[in-house]
Amino acid sequence: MTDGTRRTEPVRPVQKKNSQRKGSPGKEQPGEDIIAAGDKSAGQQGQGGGAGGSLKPSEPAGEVGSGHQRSHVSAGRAARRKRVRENTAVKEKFAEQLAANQNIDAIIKDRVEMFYDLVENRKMMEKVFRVPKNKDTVFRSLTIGTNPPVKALLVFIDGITNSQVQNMAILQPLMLLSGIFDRCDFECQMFDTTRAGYKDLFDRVKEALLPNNQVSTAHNFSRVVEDVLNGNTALLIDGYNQALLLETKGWPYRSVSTPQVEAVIRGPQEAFTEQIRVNTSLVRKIIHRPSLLTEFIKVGNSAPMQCAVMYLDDLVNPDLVQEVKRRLESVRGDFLLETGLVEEMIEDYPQHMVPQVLSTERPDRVAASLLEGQVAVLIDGNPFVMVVPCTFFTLMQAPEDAYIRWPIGSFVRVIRYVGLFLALLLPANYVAIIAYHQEFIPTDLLLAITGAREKVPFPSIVEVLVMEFSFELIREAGIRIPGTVGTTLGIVGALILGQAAVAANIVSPILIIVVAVTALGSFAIPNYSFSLTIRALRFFYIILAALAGLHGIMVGFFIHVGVMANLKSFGVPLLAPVAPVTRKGSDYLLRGPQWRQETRPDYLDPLQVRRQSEVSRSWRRRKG
Amino acid sequence: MYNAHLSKVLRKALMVVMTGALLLPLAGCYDYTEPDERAWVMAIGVDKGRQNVLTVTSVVAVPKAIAGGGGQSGSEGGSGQGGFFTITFDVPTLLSTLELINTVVDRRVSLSHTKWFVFSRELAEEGIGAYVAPLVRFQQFRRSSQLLICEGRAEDFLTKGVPQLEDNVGKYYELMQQGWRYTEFIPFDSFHQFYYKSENPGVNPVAPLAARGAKETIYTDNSFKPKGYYQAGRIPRKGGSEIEIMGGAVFKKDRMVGTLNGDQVGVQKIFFGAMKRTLLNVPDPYHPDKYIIVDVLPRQKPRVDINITGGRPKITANVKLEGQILSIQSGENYERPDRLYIVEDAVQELIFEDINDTIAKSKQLDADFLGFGLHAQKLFPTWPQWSAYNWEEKYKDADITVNVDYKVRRTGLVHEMVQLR
Amino acid sequence: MSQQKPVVGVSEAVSLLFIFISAKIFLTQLIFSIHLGMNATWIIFLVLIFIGLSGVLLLVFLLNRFPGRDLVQVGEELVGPYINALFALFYLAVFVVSAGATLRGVSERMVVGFLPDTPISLVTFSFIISIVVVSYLGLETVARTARFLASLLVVTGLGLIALTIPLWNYSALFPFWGPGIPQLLWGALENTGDYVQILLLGIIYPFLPGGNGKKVGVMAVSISGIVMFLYVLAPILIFTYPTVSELSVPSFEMARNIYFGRFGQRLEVLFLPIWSLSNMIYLAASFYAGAAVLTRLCRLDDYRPFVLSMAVFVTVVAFIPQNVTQTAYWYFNYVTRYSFVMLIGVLLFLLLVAAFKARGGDEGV
Repeated sequence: MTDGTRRTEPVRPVQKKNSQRKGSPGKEQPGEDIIAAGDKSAGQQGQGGGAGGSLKPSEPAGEVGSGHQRSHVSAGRAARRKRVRENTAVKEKFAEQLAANQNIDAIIKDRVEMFYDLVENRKMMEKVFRVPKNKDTVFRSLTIGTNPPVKALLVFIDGITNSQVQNMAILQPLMLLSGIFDRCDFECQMFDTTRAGYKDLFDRVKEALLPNNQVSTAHNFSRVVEDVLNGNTALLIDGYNQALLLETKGWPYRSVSTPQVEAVIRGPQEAFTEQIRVNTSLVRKIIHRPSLLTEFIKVGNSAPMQCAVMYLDDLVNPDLVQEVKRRLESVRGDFLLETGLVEEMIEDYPQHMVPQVLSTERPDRVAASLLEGQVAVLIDGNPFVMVVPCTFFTLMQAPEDAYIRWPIGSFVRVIRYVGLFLALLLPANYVAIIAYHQEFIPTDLLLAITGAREKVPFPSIVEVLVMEFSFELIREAGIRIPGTVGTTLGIVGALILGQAAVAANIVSPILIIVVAVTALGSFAIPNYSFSLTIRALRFFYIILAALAGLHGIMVGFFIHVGVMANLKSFGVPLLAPVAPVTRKGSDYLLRGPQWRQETRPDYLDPLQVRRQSEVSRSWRRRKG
Repeated sequence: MYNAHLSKVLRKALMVVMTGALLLPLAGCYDYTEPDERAWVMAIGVDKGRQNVLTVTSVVAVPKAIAGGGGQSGSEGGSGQGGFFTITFDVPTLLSTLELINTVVDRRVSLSHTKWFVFSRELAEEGIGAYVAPLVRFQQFRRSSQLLICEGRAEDFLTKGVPQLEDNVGKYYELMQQGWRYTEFIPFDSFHQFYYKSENPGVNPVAPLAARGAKETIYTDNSFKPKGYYQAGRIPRKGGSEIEIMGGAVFKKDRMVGTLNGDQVGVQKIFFGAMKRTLLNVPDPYHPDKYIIVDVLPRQKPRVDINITGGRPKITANVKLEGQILSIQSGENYERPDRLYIVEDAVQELIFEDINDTIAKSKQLDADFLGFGLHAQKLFPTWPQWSAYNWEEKYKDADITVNVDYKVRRTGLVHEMVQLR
Repeated sequence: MSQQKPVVGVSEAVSLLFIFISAKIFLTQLIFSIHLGMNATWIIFLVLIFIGLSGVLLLVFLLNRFPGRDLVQVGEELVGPYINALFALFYLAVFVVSAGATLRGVSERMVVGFLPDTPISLVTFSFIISIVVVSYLGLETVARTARFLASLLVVTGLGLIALTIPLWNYSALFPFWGPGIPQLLWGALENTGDYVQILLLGIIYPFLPGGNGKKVGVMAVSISGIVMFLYVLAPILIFTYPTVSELSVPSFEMARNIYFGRFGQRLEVLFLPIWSLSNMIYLAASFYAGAAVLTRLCRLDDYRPFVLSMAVFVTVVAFIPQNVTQTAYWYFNYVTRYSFVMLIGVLLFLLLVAAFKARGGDEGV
């Protein structure tokens, strides 16, 4: 830190004011419960209990809850919130149903304890799941074949559970095998229930009768409901005011396949899928370190999304993790399905066009970022993973740069920056030069351009805008078009826009080259959302160029750079390590050789700065 | 909190920008011009006027003739006739043309691609300072263009100067002028060099001399004349396009004082390090009427030492050249190492004569176009002393010694030629 | 300033200060030195580096006695608000007048060189917009923008010089001492104002990482000295003495003269970014610095309202001169000639008072 500047923005502690929101109970979500449940499922499903389990101290419910209330919403926003009026007419018409809904929500929110009576429990659960109407929830009553037999009830949701597991690991042992030890208690004294130390039948069922890999107990309905909704099975036993939650998740998901967006020629060919546990395991598969932590946070109110924060505990700056978690936990969004939605909720400047998180579908990229001291945020149901903080230079890097030979990697990067320049400024520069600075064009070319333009009726700026717009149209249509007709689109687009437009004297031939090169440039940008940003900004520059030529472009560029220099991604300036300057590795603009990559990026302030020793190729040390 | 505040700032900033962006188009795009709404002048010729002070001829390129017009037919090309038309006005000053021309030409005329400024000799001998002045001040002109002096009227010179190879007359002009890279006959000075040399007390400029090809016979006998003996307007030739550039026009201050022939221009270029290569016909010392043909390249920049004793400059110039034998007409085996000196001496002799001839010319014109003054100014510690010395006055009394050193480096594809039997 | 203290690293500060000092080489101001120094003007600029260095060392010496404070605050501490107000107004005048002349100069440059039909008010307005936006975002942003663009500027700037190498005439260096040694030294004294921009260091000093002020100042002055030296030397070599003193903007004429065959000519558009970006950085820094001085003067904590008022001041100053020649002459007469001497006078006075009062601790430098 030669500059002595602390790049990471100081993380302010969560302000805990006591102004708990007094909203309608129907809108309130049990914040602490969700987290607790997420935490539990993390602990249940994670590989070692050590990794997931130790993360989240189960805090006293009330405190966490109040911490999550929107304690410091500005007065203006609260006023705006008020303006969203409830529709009184509807309220009156469906008063009965509203009351019922509130009643049910209260069950969950107030953490109603379970009853001893199975029938009452069942009634309660049916009420919560609206059972006569809802056909997905299954209530399977059974009798546990112990001596004496006990009534029990399985609750689960059809379709998201694995029926194989249910049959073999729950129903079969409970119904058929549970009585075995009772019957042969003369021979098998060692299995005596009392000697094994079971408190009661419930404990025995949990400890001895269910060969299920993850089992936990719950005392209140909200917990049970939560787990059942996550694909687990709840076992309610008559006479006990608690339920056993059994891991039976099993819903269909896409298997791991090759990357669709960030394809490489050399390097790993697997991408994240929509299953968060698969995704975390894909990362964990690469980094075999006990310090790789996965924390789960639920984000969103209406349909909470499981969100995992992964980092290397011994590398990453704790302030950064704290900040990421703080932002994720304090999000009060409605429904955050995709990384893009969460991104908007947690990034520093959502009103800017530049992406401030890096989203990638490649586990190797996430692993490499984690090893640099960054933090990954995974969202369930989403094959894209956010990596924060991100800088302008990381947006321009592709994983393959590191996999091919390093001089070639540097060369490829240079090409990519040229592509960025072309995508952003080529059409604008074309307009500026063709309409303002004709003296810059070599005479032969100028006369050729002029000759070719003779019959074109539009001004250059209109030509450029029309062609660029058409190109965007092709691109957009190409994404939306059904696959079966997709292949024809390219031909149609190229044919109509290229050949025909020129032949019909709608545009000048050189413009086709400009548009094509611009398009190629924008496709060379490895980050999809950054590429979209550049495409959109291009139009601003075209207009500026039409207004004042290159001078206009420069004025726009100056503002652009100024605004970029002002941006921060999780406390890290977007233009780091160039502005501000921090100690640089040999891998930001160009790709240095692997053996020179000795330090982690300084702007991340990692706990371990050095990543490999000075002499990383120790075989070069001759003995003696 | 911090974010909310900053976003407020940014929103305001954005508003300022947006307002600005909205205001700008209201103000209009003043300089926006389509290339097909402009006409480009490729050359300007200036003559003494007939109906006004000056006659100014502009060569306007016709893009359609060059690019073949729009659509898919771009590759058809023009006719190889340069694709231009000329337009001549009698005007009071050079720049008046720029405005007057738009009374005739529909497209707005731009001078930013002008390659040549052609002044007629007649005008140049009266002094062109007044006409050159706008060329350094007016934004559309630039100093990297070329200033030419033409024999006869510039109007005819440009009108008749139709290229035969080129569709684009601008390319023709530029390539013609770039001949200085491979012939010794064309001075290399662009307008930039011309201009600073005419302001510098230590050197006088040389502009390329051009002319329309001569129609009638110029030389009456067929005696041997060195090829550099010619100059523009006096080249015996038939065919080719109308115009030719050879030799130079020497200027003193803003007035043309004389012409140089091809060889003299070559010597001038040697002294400025601008001569790249030339062929030389050297009389064979042992076989009269036979010639040894060598090519000559500079070995290093000429070294000029100047001594000023008693106010009179004593100049010693060492010219070092090298080259290869291209042809020995007599077939004698001069290539042998022990006999090579014969060729070298002959070449040195010839070049020495050329240089002396050129120096004599410069003394005769009283114009130091070889730039000895640039070397002389090193002897003076301060500019006032240098100005006070008054080099222009002293030059004609200078005592100039020239040493030429030529080395044959290679002998071409023949090692030793066998005598004809 | 208002939200949190901006933090400017050494590298950003050096880039900002060096661009701030040397942006004037792209304007007409340079020509007056060539009038004085003839073909040996480059010697003047070598001498000026030492003058600039001594100025910056004096400034740092003063500021280091009062850590965490800028020049205005130091002055207030030493001589009280009333006398200091005079000094602060002097600083403000330096920023406003130079910025005004620069704004006018660069706008005229754009109009003459690239946009001949556009009214100058429009060009000035477009500059003002971008400058106000960037300087509004704060010192950090200005410094980072400068740092980000510095590499671009240095590469294009050196590229411009490199491309003209075929046009260099080394004989233009002679007669070696130009007008004579005494005249050269006098020329250096007349041009001291080229380094008055070190004043910016006094304003941003509190935001630099501690103890690095001297390093920043010395590096920035040296780099800008070298850049100015190159940009004086190159036109002299290209155009030779009598001709070079005619040019209104030597760097522009250099770019116009580049000639590499039929393709590589008329390249001045390629170098438009250095004229426009360097001066926009200069102006953004001026706006910030002027606003900061005003903030200190009025004892407020937010500089931002003053950015807009700076925009108004500077625009007014820019359009006081009737024509571009007057702008250049005024700039030379009032800023280049006297401002640096006055600045040194103020600094020496403050140091004297400091020594007299024996305040500011004994740590010194």
